[in-house]
Amino acid sequence: MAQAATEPLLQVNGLRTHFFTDQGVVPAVDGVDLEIFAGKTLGVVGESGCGKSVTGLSVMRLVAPPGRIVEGEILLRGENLLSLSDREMRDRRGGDLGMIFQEPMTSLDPLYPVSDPLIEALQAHSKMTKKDALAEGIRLLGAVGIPEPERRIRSYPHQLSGGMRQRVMIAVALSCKPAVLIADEPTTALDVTVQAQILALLRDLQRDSGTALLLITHNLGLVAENCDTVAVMYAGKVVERAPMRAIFREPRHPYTQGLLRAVPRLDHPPKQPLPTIAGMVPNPLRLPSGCRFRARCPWAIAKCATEEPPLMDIGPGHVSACWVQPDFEAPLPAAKKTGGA
Amino acid sequence: MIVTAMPSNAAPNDTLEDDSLSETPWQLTWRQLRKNRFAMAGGAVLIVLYTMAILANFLSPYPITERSDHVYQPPSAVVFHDDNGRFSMWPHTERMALNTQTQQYNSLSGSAVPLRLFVRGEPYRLLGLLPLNMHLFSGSGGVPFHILGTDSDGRDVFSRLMVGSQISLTIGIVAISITFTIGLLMGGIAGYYGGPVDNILMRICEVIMSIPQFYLLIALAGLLPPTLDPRLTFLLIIVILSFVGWAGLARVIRGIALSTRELEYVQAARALGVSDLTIIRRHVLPSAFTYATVSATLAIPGYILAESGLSFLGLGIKIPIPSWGNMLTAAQNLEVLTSKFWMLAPGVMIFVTVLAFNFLGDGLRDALDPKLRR
Amino acid sequence: MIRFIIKRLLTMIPLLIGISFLCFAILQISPGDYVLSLTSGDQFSEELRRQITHEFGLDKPWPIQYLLWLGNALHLNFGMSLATRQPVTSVLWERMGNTMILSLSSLALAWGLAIPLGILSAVKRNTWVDRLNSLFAFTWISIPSFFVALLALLFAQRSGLFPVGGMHSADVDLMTGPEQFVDLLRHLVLPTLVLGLGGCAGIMRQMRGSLLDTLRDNYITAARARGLSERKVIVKHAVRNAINPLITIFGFSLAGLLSGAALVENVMAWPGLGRLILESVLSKDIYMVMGAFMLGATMLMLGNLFSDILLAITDPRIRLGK
Repeated sequence: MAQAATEPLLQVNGLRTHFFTDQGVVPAVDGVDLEIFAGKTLGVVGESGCGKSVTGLSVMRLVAPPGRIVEGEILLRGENLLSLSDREMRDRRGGDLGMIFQEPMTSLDPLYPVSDPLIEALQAHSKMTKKDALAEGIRLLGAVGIPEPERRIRSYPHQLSGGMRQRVMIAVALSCKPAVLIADEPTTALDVTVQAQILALLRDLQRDSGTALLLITHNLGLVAENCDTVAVMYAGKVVERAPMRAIFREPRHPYTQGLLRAVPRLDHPPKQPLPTIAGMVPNPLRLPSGCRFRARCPWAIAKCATEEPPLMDIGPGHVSACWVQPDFEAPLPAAKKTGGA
Repeated sequence: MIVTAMPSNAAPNDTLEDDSLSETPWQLTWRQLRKNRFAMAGGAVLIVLYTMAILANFLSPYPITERSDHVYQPPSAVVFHDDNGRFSMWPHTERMALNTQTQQYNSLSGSAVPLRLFVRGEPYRLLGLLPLNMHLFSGSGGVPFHILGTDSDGRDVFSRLMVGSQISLTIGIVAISITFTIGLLMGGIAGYYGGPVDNILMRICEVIMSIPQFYLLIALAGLLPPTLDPRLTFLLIIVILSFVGWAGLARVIRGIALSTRELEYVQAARALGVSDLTIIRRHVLPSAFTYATVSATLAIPGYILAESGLSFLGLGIKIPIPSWGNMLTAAQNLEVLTSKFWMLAPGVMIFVTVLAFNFLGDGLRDALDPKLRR
Repeated sequence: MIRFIIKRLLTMIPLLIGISFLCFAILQISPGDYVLSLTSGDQFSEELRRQITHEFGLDKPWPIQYLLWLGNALHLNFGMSLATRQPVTSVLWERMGNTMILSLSSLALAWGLAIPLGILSAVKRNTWVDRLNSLFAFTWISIPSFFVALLALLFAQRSGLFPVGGMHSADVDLMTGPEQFVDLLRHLVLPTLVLGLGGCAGIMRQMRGSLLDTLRDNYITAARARGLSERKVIVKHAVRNAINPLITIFGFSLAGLLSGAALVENVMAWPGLGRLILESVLSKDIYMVMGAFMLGATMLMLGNLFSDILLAITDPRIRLGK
């Protein structure tokens, strides 16, 4: 990667991806800024429906109708992916950009052996012969930790376990040495022990090849173990972004704080109810004015209802979108504990 | 290690005002169905057709068995002048006579008579109960008005078409109700009990389903004695149709019942000592119900086509009772087919009816499919 | 695979016995019998009737009749046609061939049109192409086949392009081999269109639905994420998976065509099995009916077996087992 180390490899500016359903427009991604550097991992965290998966799909330009990217730039090494033709984008996909998905059980075509996607990917992005591609495929399977790869490469997906299938997906995604790998909840559907293995694998591969990793997850624990920077998303927007330590030590957005508080801890006093974030995610068809989190926020003030807070600098590499920016250690205002407007 | 902060309680005044949460599944389905214009059109057409069937006697100007010597008369002309040739806003019709040399019917000029509305004619019973003798329209002055001409015995085709709709439209519905009931019951029992009961029932289904359907229909219908009371024939045709049709439905219901049986709430009910029949009725059948409803709506056209096919071949409803199928039998004659087009009207009616059912059934299936919601 | 086929063929036998029993029972329950309809004139004395009845073995109690029939059937002797005094098997053979010709050509037409049209419809969803196809499909599903057959005859008569029904011209024996073949083709066109277009409609909608479902599957998105061209994604991955459920339908499709052919044969005077069934049912020629029934059922079951084999071959999940 002939690239200045201080320039982000992938930069997303003001991305908006909206879904035009017959019940209205759903702004799934509504103004998102991200950047990832070579060899580093950016974690995107949030609950279901916050738009993190759609963000990943948008970078790949794989958003299906009725969804459409309506605004923004996605710069890969300075080149705006959104201005490329379909053909040019196809070259990037699988080549410079790789993606692995949440459901390894259904991400492989059941009618073809595992060699097929590997050969497909390699032949789509290089001039390899089938024989060479097959050999490379075997090597890749070995690299992702599949035992007896020369035998396994002829297996069909249904003959492999979930963990193995995900390893195959990783091999396929990394086959053409992408600059950026997007991992959308790669371990959510897997057993806990397998989760750890997969992530360790991703970390090792990343170290060896300098690939930038965009890790999309709802699991804060995974984020803590694997990410260099973290972006927290809520209702289609990034509400806080910071280096990993800063997020966990000094979160400044009430949502992030709520998430962290909700992590069950071994030293939690017994017989006390576990803390939660009251309320529910707003209906995307009827988003509230001002800050989207205010209905559930214990710190909301009058300004939160009228003006939407922008992302504000609060430290080195740390931004947060909140008018109050409460201290994590401060006690919660009692009257607002159960949420409310 | 669950780390997500899942919100646990909805605060009383939060911003979630999603109305769709308060709709029953039926309301949701109806709303989805309404959006499908073809399905709505189909439904409207069916309402018109069934109203027509109920009012058949009222709409028919002539009794269906009344013969005349106007054999194969083409549709009567509608003219807008009276017998003196003066223009009239009111529709008139003219007498037709057969030119024995050309074997063609011609309108006799100077014979125009006005059409009459709401005339008293042959008495009938509306819905089999209410005695009436009012008919919507007719000719006058002894000049018959045959909108769709006459058939081989001089009978008014339009009247027979109207009355025939009663047969053709009800057979399908009645037969499907029987099939529906038997299929649900048999399938539910077979799937729920499993074991030898299941085996026997499924073997029976396979036997029935292994015979090409129409072969079986021909055999069953063809063996009815031709001299049987027509009403009995009508009932037996329904029975035959149901007999041929229930096996397929039962098979699928059985599959659904099998998978439902293993669900936990069914096991819980059993553990509570709820009787088997109640479990079948309240837990197993409702999940099969949706499939069965769609299946039924889509099967009605099949039954209508089957009945008309059988009647067409002379095996179903027998003349003189009119059914759209047997009214088309005459069209097998090449001469009739090529020159007497009005005899094809029943075919068009069958087409329209079946099309409407298909639109409606298809729309219903889409509306009930959870993947297509919103 | 061979074991699978043999097992299926073995299960067919009790099924066929069951069918024959059902058929025999139906025939016995129905009133009237062949001898009566044959000898309905006064010139037949009661004595003569009894003699004929005895000759045909119709005076034995019906369980005996059935077992006798069954015994013969296992030797592939299906008895004599009461009407023509010819062995049932020879008549069946000829008629079956004719039905197969019609059914197979309709099958080819139906599937040959339905698959491409279905794919086209799914890929160009909600465009005018799709809507037109849907309209075409709905029309052909809804129109009664005998009505289309009538219209086809009308067209043949009016245009003179095709013969009006039947399978051979009257002077077919005077033709040379190739001429006979062309004559057959000319007679085949209209019945095939009537039967095939009706079958095509349903299959096309299934293909469209199946492909639309498949396009929503995860491996399709994953394939796109690898950078494959859209064409390759659709043809190599989507269509191949979408066809799977249709292979199951193939068996039903053949059954439907056999059944539908019965009606078309009767209207268009195609001398096939369906027409034979009608004729022999009306004349109460029981052995012919039994034979035709069994043959129809056998063809249907073989069709199902064929589609199951096809499915096992193409789907590795079935071929290799879980």
